Amino acid sequence: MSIVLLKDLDFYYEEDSPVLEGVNLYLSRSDISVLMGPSGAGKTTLLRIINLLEKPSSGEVVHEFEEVFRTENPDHLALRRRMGFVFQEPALFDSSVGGNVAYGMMTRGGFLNHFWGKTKEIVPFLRSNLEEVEEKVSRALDRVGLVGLQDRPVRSLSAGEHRRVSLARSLVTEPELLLLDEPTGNLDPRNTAVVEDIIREVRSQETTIFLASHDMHQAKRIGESVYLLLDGDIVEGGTAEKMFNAPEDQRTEDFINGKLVC
Amino acid sequence: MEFLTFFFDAIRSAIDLLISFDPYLYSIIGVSLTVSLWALVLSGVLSGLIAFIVSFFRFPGCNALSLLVYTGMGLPSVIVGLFVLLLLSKNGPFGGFGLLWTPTAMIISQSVLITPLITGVMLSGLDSVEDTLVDAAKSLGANWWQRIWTIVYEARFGFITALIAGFGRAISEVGSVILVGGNIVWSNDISYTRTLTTAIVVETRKGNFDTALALGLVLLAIVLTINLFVKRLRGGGTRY
Repeated sequence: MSIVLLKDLDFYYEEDSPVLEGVNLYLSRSDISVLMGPSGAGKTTLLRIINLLEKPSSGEVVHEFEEVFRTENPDHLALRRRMGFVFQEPALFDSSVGGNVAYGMMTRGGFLNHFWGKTKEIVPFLRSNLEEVEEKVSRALDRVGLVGLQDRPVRSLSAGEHRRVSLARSLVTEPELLLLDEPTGNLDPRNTAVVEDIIREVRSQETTIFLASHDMHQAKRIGESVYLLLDGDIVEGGTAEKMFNAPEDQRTEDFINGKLVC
Repeated sequence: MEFLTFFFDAIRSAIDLLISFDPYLYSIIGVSLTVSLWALVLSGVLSGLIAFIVSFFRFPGCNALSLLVYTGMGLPSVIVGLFVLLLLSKNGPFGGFGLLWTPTAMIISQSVLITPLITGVMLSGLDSVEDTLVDAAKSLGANWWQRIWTIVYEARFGFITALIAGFGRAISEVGSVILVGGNIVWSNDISYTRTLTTAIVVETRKGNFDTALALGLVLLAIVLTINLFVKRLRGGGTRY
């Protein structure tokens, strides 16, 4: 599952202004790959295509040896359920922390489970399943350092906590591939460190992580593989060491050195 | 000063009428509530259905339907009353049912009046759910039905607002109910199709301003009570 291959990928809303053009990318299993690039380079779009939220205009998207867009694939839902996606904006539901974190499990548990709080009183056979859900929610919150906040409305939390709830919501279903879009954007250094620690901890659980960030220092800190996306195309990719110490492309070197890249 | 005295007298007569269990007043309140609540139930179901179809399906005429809904939000009640009157009158297509001058006719006209309003507010509630939330639901593995449920859940306060607005419009409406209901009171002073609003019109015409104002205050008290109840239902006055 965690092997993702993008081949000659193009994406555009209007034909004369492509967002992505000729992207080729290979994500290997159990790795932290960081997609670097300035704002507006197309990082979010790339992540959305991998999560099957957008259909590429042309090219191939291969998840675990299977091309997923060539024909109308009925298993998109199943495939998406093996991934986690933490959006740039936390996109939390107007509910409690626990309700948000349990959402992914409830979607997998069937429609009835949506009425989580209500059904547990009136449908006894669901009780065991719900106890399991509660336990997983509590464990996921523990992982992101929000112990005991299940019943708090998400609106009462800070931006950093929102981000962590969003992470917990994706982690609770134990995804094989975790996509993170600017997971520390707008966060203070302390919250950034907390989120990065969580990412490292998740990586140790054999989860493949693909992270988009405009912060090259972050890419240096946590990336094992690093790719640079400029103007809709990946100009260079490789190990973090190679990318930061011996980049082959002049544009990569300029980006790392903080020069204007065009 | 004179107005204030008049106003407080009206409040006193409203309280007197209420605590003396005046059968005339209570029959009017009964008709008002019954007609408006039935209209609310019918319109609520119909509006939910229309809002669901317009929001979640694309079909030819979809935009025209939503335009019709938004236009209908400003429908003048006398026009609705006239339209329903023509349909239910003896020579109209539904004249054979003998519904004219009955509470059923009033329920029909109020339903026609408030359905576009409730649907419009429901639609704007559904529209206000951000795309990022729908994407989040999708990426978290929600299937189509689960996404619909999530959108409806996120728009729940808009739905409640739609129902309150619909009920408020129904119970305070006078033009159509007077046309199709006929403002009838039995000879024993018990209302058949007279509502609080039509009673206010009658009492004002008779020069009984204090009774009219008292009825107005009762109407306001009912609307206030329902709003307070709904606010409590929404969670002690906050969103949570």
